[in-house]
Amino acid sequence: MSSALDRRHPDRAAASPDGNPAVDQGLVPPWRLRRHAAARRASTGRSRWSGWLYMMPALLVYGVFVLVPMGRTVQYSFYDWDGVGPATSVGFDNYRRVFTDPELISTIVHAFELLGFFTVIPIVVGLVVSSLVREVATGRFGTVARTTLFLPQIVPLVAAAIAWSWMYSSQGLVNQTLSLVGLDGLTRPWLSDFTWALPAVGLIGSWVMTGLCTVLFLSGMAKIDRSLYEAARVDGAGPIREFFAITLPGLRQEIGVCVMITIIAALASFDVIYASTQGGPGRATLVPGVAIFRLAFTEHQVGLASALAIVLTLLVLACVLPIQRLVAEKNP
Amino acid sequence: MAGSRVWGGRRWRLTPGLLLVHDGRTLSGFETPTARPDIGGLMNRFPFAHAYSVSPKVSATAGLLLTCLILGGCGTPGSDQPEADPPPEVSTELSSDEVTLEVVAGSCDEALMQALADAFMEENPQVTIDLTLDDCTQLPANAPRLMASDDPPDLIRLSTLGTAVEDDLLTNLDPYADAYGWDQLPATQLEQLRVSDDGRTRGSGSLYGMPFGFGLTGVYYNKDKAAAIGMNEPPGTVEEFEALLAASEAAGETALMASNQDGLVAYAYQGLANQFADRDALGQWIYTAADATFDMDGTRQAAEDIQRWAEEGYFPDGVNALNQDQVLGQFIEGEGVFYYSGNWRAATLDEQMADNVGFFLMPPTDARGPQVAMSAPAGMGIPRRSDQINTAAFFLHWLQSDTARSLEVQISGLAPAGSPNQPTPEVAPGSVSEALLHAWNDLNESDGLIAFLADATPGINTSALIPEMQLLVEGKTSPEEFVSAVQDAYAQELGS
Repeated sequence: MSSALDRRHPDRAAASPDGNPAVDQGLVPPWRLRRHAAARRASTGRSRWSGWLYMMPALLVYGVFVLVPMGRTVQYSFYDWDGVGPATSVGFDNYRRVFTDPELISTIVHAFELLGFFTVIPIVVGLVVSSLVREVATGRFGTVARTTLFLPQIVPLVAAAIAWSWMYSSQGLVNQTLSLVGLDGLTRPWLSDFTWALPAVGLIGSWVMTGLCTVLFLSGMAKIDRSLYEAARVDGAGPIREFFAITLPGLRQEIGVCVMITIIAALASFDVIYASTQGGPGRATLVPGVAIFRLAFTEHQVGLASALAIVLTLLVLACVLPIQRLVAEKNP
Repeated sequence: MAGSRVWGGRRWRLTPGLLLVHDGRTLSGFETPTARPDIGGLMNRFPFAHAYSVSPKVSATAGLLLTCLILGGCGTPGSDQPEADPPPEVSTELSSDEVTLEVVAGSCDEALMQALADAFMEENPQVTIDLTLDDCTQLPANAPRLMASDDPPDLIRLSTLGTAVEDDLLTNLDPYADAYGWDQLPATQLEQLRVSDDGRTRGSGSLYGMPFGFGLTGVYYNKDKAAAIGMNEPPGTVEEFEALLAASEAAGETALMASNQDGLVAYAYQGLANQFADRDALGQWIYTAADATFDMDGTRQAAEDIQRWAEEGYFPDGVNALNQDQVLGQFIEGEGVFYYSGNWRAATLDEQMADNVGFFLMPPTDARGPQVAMSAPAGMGIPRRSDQINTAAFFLHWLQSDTARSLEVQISGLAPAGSPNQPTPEVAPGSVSEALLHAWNDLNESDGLIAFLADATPGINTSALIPEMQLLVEGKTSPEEFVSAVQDAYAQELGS
């Protein structure tokens, strides 16, 4: 559509009121516009189909490895099936059990309790730390701080969980530290304490997620216009006001992304818990991820496991969709 | 957060629902879309409801996609099992043709399986054993799928029979038991590998597997520490054993090493239940016989004892956080007088603790009573669709040969397959392996093997035994509640 004329008079082309520079510039008489539009439609129609063609390999892989298994999971959730032998259709019985079995409901409650540790703590700490790092740590120290904070992301979760379970053990680092500062009364084998096991596991999640959030926030801060801070300073704003008035609104998208990632990590958590407590003590840290795995692969109740998986998926979507909508809004 | 709260300055405002307001102009948050119908004013009342509204085009596409997947996907799951060929004519002779035997075993048995395969191939050069190892914790879940696959192995390690017989995945070994004379072995040895005609109830009926050895659980003791608390010979009754635990505790030692993150206090628990309850009644429960119940005086009494032992502090601190490897390490390093575990630890203990470790079975309540101990065959089965059934059965029988028996004992510490009348495999005198072999012979004399409670159903261990055992030692459940919770989980699983 663009012509040599546009290049010679870029201002005029850009200023075109209805987005059709060709008419504005008298290159195409208005009565011939309809034919142009028709031609344009034809060409986009063609490109739409060729677009699908290009997408085909990826779509095929996506379909075979994501959509079909998802459809199968939905299908299995309506059966009583041991995974190998013949299955019997049971209607919504599996779903009924997911919502009535206190053990399965408690797994979902635990997942939401983990939200505090996987989402709230990392985002709050991440905001504070990234603000501090931006203020005080420039140059080499800043790089070291960023790298150190991001490091937990690189460690495989299973390895992290094992290392943490050593630290939480009765002779572990956590208790040694508590004894050192005279808090012997608080020492306990954290992961086998019915009250403290879930918070202890949750903190492993906080440790992993904080680095990710901090690094995301730091990069978000880098793109906030410096002049906003200068203007705020001229207005007499202190660092705390600056944070709430400029940094926080400026990081809206990054916060949205962090909230989404961490909510998914919390609700769908599996590896940290499987490697550290396996749901124990009792059922104090049993989350849907571990319960699904056990139901499907050790208890051979594929139907019930599928139903719980579907419920978990819907829960994750219900939590994440509103946040995604928020983030997807156009920037002011 | 209060709606009127002004954050950071008069001009910027963060309101509920994350609307960002600057000088009265909304910069972000939800703007009410006008294109979509607002049914019942939902969108106005709940701003977040917009997030869930999807355009008709998107929902139609999604619906279509899902319908296609479900309808076009497949029929009833599990209904596409191909028929197996009829089994071959039974032969106890190995043909001279070159054959390959595909064997799937657990990686935790790697050393033993490799040694057995090598020894077998040396004796029978026409057979090539193709050994595939799968992770031991994953194998029980993978085994049914491997057996049902298009290319099933010829021999597979069976941790549990599960629903393999019901699903027609295993070869009935009765004809081979007749041909090879396996019926002459002590009856309780093979009980756990038998399944009745209903395909589910174990303990009697046709034979579906043969062992390459037996696990055996009991009490290890640190000889120095046991002597220090005045134990001159292994206890003869449960009461005497309990007195020794009390003496250990009084001496400031951890009395009984056990791990419970994995619920393995269950070994000690069953050790007691085996003595307090009727062996056959408990066995019937494990084999899921009709009407069998866990609700017995013996199981309740065992739960009371375990809870009391926990209250007295006989178990290590934080037993619920310990796993079996940690406890083994601590016992080797000299913590604890007694250690409840199995014979698969014997080789390691002999190596690490030299002559300082002994073993005895949980004694009966009455010194003259018969020995009963939890012991499970390390069973292998022949998938129904294997094309080398005769060769595989020949290998199973060979597992009872003297060569195989000494490998079983020496490499893995397992109790050997085969008859107790066969010569006992040689082990170092004074070693704990020797003590284990004696205990094994005693047990066979009274024909007192019993299966592991956790093997009753595929799910009982994770759904009830582990969590309930953790609650029990912590005092968060009563012995009565423990027994009924285990029974409830069992009934629910079998009922479903």
